[in-house]
Amino acid sequence: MITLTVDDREVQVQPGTLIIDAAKAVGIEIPVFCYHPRMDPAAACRMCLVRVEKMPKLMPACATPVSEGMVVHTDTDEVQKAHAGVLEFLLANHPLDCPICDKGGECELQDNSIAYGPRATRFADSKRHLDKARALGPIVELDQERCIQCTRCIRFMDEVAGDPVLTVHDRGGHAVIDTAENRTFDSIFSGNTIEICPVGALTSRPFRFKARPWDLDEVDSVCPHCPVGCNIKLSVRHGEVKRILSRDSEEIDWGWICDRGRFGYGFLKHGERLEQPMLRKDGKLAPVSWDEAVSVLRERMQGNSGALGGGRHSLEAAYLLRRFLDQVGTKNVDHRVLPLYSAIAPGPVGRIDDVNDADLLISLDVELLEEAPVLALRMREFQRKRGLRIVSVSPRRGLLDMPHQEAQTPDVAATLRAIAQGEGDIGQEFLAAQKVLLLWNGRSEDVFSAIGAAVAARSGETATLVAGSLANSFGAQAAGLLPKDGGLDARGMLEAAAAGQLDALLVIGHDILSEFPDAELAAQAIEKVPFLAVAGTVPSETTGRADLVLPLAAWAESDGHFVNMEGRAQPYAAGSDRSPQLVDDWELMARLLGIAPDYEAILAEVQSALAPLFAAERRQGAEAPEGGYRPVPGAAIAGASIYYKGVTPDPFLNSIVPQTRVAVAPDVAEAAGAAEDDEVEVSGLRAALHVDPDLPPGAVLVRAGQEGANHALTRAAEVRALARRSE
Amino acid sequence: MPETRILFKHIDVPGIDRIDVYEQHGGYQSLRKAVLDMTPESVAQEVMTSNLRGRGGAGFPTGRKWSFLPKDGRTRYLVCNADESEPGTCKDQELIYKNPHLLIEGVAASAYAIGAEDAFIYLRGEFKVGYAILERAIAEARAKGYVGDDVLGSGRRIEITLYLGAGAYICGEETALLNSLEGKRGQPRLKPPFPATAGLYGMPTVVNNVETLAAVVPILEMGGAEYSKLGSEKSAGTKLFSVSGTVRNPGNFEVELNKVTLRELVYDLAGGPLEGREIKGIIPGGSSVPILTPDKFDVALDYESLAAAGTMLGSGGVIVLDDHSCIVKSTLRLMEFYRHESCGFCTPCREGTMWLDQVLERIEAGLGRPGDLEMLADLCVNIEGRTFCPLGDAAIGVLKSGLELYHEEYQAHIDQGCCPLGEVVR
Repeated sequence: MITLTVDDREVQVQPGTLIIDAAKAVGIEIPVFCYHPRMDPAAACRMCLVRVEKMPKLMPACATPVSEGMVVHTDTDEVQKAHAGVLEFLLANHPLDCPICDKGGECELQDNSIAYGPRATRFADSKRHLDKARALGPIVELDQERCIQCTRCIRFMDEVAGDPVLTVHDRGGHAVIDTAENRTFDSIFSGNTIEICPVGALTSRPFRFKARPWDLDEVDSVCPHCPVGCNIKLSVRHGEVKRILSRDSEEIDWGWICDRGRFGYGFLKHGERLEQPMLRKDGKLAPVSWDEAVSVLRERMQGNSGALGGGRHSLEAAYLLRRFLDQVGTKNVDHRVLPLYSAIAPGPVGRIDDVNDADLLISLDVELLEEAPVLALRMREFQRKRGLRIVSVSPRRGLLDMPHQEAQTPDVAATLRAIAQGEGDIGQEFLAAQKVLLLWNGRSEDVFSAIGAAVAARSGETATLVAGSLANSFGAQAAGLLPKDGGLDARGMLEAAAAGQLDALLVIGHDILSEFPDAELAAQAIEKVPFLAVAGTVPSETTGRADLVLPLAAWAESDGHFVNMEGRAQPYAAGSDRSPQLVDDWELMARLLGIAPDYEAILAEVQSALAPLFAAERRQGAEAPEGGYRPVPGAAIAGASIYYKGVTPDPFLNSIVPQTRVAVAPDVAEAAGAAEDDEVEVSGLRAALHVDPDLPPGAVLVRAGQEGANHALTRAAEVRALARRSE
Repeated sequence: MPETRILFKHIDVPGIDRIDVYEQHGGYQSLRKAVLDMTPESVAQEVMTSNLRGRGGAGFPTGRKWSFLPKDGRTRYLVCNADESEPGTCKDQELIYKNPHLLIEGVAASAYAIGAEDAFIYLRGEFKVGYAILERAIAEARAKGYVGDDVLGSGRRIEITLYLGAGAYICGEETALLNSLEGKRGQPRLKPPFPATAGLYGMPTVVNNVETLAAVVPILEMGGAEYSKLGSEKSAGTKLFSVSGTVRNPGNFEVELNKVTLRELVYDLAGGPLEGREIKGIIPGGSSVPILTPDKFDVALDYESLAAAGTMLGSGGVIVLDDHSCIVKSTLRLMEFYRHESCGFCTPCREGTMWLDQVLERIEAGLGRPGDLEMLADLCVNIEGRTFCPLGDAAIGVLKSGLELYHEEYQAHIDQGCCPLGEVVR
């Protein structure tokens, strides 16, 4: 430990600590603009200058490490003058359009000006005029006049996101932030730059000029889009979510969220929603009361029934659904509607911050930026800072966007078994490493058992995280939404329904026609099943063909818990008002069960029944589940897509989603006589072609959510050229 | 008071830029001696013994700078800073354009001394002709085995790569130079780490000025001990000075440090003021250093004496202002330069130079206001020592001293609403 003095107060900190953090430790605030605790120091703004005894000049507290016996002064006349001087410089050319600025009220330039600024400016010449609304990309607009050149945004994209798309153009007083030549700001992390912008320079198209920050109530929530479970805040005005911000969690997200998580809220008030319970009478869906809806569903589920879903809803709802199914005696239930074998791996469950001190991270077929984007940022950080070894084992190359070793293989499970036996350099490293983190997409039974063997083969610490699931897949699985005692899995239920052997099917939070990886089977099942009930937030093809439609409150309109990839139950609270007919997902389940919809009581029961999910200790891994995703040989590979994993289609996000293409290996393109950008058809799916040399020979890849993707996933994928666009 | 020509010894020899002529005048003997008869350590020791100090502006002892390289087996680089951009300074340019082989020999010998196989010469963007001259000279040197995979059969590889900058003053700052050389934006890096431990491409790197590296050639020729006898103990050797402004005989002069005064340089070597003029001030070390008034002209030209006089030897760019030179206009001209050249990375330099320039422009145009001079002085306080790199301090060197030394002339601009020197300003 190092002892130093800050403003006559003795501080003890670790060697390497920066003065600014040492001061913070004893409650002394040093003003900053360019400094950000999650990024490397830049020392550009000069706001944090302090006097360090024995140093010839004032020193930037954000970039000066402490040393033994150092004496720091943060509040002398000289330092105060330096602070005021920097602020006077920054304000000289600042437009001072605070009355219409998105950042007004939470602006670091305003805050520092109040606390440290001169009371008047001496600047009496003409201000610099620059672009007030420069669209850097589909989401972010830059007001160049407000920018104070702190370069937080540039450094975020460079250091944290690893995609240096932003840069400074020109120099001196003409210096402006802009995208690099021939680039647009299309990163899936772009919104973070808006949040860390200390002034109102970077703004988002959905929020620009929509609200004043001081009018917004903040509600703690959790992102509903992927199993990372980033902590977020809903900014709410008059019952409407106006924006989403991060809520820095040391263990999970470090204050970063992806754009899907940040901008997917517009549908709450401005998208198409299911508004009231509807029952099919005389072939038409007609409004019914909740009492009638619940009683019809309860009655129909008494027979030979099944239920699908749970990964997108609260843990509370998953738990109560399990209770309800036990009550009516059905064993047919499966949360795995999308391609998934298990949301929990064998062996100890990993924690996201295992990345911090793992020696080796093996990624098993995970397309990280699509499946668990924010996890990629932490991996990059420790790869960059301490050379974390990362290996990608997959039939595909290029799945990770940070430096890593590729172990391309047609058989991930076999390769993992070989590694577990110490084969090759990776195998040796695997056995020797103190701590290994396995990251898995959760798709195949083979890999599940290979992970079990790999964990058993090691004497050191080993943990596994499943990235390829939904926000509450872990919770749904832990709550028992899996077939048991000979019950049917998702495919089994649909096959039984298609064969006329299922009386009723309840689907929660999924559009099985577009999501279950065999659309034909889903369609047959819907056709044949005598009673189909669909609970959800938005209309879909499946709700259109349902016999009973049950409208649910969205996550932002409801209280509940999601259980993330670590098995950590995280609470979210209702921030948005909701349509009067909507009910919480757990409320629907409580009504089905016939118990009082008393949230506190339900939560207490869940906390007691599923205590490990609420405990601080590391969770234990799962037994091999029954059933699950069974890919068809010769079919397309199921690619992930962060833009299609969410609970709902959001109007704004849909407007910015890049057009998805079908990716094929070069040999497939050649055999089909098609080239890049040509229009092709793959088992009914029409899309532009992308020839991807990172795919293994013969491979065709379609992304989740692509219209018709499910067909391609269940038939031998034949690529047929339609129209030439490559010229 | 004569010059002491060591670096400029053969500068006027016709054809000295060609290798044959250069060799006829003893060229490449120092390099030959170094790589064939001396160990790298002993070459470095000669430079240490010579007491040579960096000629780029900061005056840091060269031998010590070299000794900071960690002995950890990593690849090392030598970078020659030929981004000579300090206003008033044109010594490196003359050396490069007229006697390129002296620089190449100095670079090769220094690369040998520090254990670098690759050396880079970073030329300022405007030195396009110099680039062509050096390119041809390096080709000549390579053909004769002074540069290449096996220098003079010693088994040592020394390669020299030329790089032309894009025209930015800031790239004379060594870490900005390294960024630019790596193809990045030319702006300074946070230090530490210093280039000696993490320089070009993150490797241990020495960055030396053209004149510094050229001086290694005579040091090896005469021996470090002999060289150190030139000049004074702390300011050893000779130094090139570029004299510009209103003098009869402007140009580059090489003098022994500490043995010549500023007055002798300007009045004798550079011919003194124009007919009927009086010199009212001299900026002795390039446009970044405080002005000296006539009462200080007898200061000896060396690092310590100029520091004691409140200014700096800097790059040796001596700018002469006479009684027809308007101090406001001269300072404005320099401030336009610094405003234009500020990289924009840090607040006080980016905003401060813009602001100072606007106010000076206003005063020069007769639109000065009461309080402007006090404000200018205070803005200098808010810049000096507060910026990320020395450019901020450089930008205010002349202004700050000028406000003190020529306060009446400044005040007259404001009071009279025009330049008191009227139309005679040149």
